[in-house]
Amino acid sequence: MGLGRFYLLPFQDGKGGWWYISPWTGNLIKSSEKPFAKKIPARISSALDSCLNPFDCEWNPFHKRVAVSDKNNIIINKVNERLFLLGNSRFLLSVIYSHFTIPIFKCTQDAFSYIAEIPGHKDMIADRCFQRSLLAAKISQSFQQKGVLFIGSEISSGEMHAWIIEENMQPDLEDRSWINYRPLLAII
Amino acid sequence: MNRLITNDSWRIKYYSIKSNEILNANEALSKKILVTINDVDNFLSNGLFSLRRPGEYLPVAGLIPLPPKTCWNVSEEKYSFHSDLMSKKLPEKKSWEQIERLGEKYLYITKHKKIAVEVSGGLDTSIIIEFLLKKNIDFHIIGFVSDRWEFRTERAIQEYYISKIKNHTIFSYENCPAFDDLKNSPVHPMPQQESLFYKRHLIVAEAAIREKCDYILSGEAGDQIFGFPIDDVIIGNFLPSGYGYWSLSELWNSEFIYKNRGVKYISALAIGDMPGYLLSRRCGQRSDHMKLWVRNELKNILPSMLSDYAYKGFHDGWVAEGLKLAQESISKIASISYEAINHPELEPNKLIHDSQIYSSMPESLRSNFLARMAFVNWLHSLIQNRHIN
Repeated sequence: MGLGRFYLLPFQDGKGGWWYISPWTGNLIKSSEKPFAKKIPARISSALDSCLNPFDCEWNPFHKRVAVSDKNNIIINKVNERLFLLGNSRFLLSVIYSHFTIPIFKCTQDAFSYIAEIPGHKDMIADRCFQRSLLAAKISQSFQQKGVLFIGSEISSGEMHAWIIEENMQPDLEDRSWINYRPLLAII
Repeated sequence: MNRLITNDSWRIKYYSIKSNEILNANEALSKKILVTINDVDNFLSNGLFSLRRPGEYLPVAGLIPLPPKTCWNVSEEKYSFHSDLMSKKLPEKKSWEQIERLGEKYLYITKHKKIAVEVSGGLDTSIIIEFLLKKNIDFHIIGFVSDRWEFRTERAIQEYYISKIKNHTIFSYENCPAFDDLKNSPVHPMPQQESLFYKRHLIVAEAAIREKCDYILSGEAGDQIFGFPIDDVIIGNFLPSGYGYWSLSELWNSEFIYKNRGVKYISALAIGDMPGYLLSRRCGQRSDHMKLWVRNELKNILPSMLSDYAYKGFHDGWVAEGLKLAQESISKIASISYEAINHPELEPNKLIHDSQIYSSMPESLRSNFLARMAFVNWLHSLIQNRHIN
């Protein structure tokens, strides 16, 4: 089983405001009081270090695409369609759907290399980052043990982004914008 | 009636439809600018890049801007790009040694002059810095370092060069917000979005003067040359329009901020044959927005932070923060401008409202907002400096 445990990573902005992302709705929330946040496991703590130090993080834009069978290709496209249908507004439902894994790829990097070529994701990283990350988490074998899905925000503009860190690696070969967003919610 | 109008100089000129004259900025301003309500619509339909991109545009305030070394097809109602006077053919594929020698040739022109380079923490300025370091040139670096989360990768690269180059002037980016000091924007004959961010360049120009630097080299043009699609570029053919110096450089700041202060602001990658030399290495490549090919080809020269990664910090947060801080001055300049030109798009409350929701706007609405702001800022600068008819 995959995604299902949420960890709030609240951030204080220096002006008395606490920012976090609701695990129910996926919305960015500002509060005057610090929200309750459970202790984070080592896997998330290590992934957060990678977020803080992107140059210590492995990233390979030249990763080769891994071939899949016709059957798996159909499955991936179906899952992708469902995630698009659920959209950003059905945040929790999308995560629950991704909880049930279909491990087609050995590692998340291979999954992203494949996803990068799917219509709707090709050159559309920013718009579909949440669906893209959920799809990678659902079809990757390694994500269940090693991956962390982050939702973050650029606080001043309120813009949001979703990405994965797996064992000191940013596995999405096309995502270089993730460094702009402060991680506020971790899902494993 | 259509006619061809040429600007053979290295400065932006303005063709006056009424007097049928080609004017420089001061001459255009001294004749008093006549602004009408139609000029708002004309400018908004032109978009933000009339001074940088070949295309068809509408005159504003009876003026047609003529970028350096260009020829334009002009009528009373509209004007369109005709040709680049300095148009060059794409040479046979050049080696990096040949590109380096061309750089040395251009550097020779600046001999005995002091050079500064902007240190942005990005790839393009870093390539220029590495070239100067390799040539043992004594130069100064000027830059803005930010504490913001999204700039931590740029910051690391800037710190790398600051530790290597002893002559540096570094400012805090937080002390130079977007839309800062709009009330004192330099007066200019036609609206331009660069005027909204002029303060950053003013600080750089003043630092260059203090350090007695004659030239500032910027990395502008790197996106077009290293990243944009070039499918239609063929060796032996002329470079497509859009690769002239005027399209690749920051003309407005060069003209209204630096030149007035005796500093030359140069887009180092865009001068002379350099765009052709660099593009010759890209023939047959598709769009490469991360500029991976050049990171890879220069991996022995660049720090691994630039050759092994392609991170890019966005300025959206800086712009959003700047808009929050500039509410009072936006309200003031908008009120003064709206009194002169009563166009609904310039209505102060509407501008303030839109500035507050800027971050949630789609790209097209953001461009429209910036164009309206540029118009208001231009009009205000004309009114303040009594250049309006």
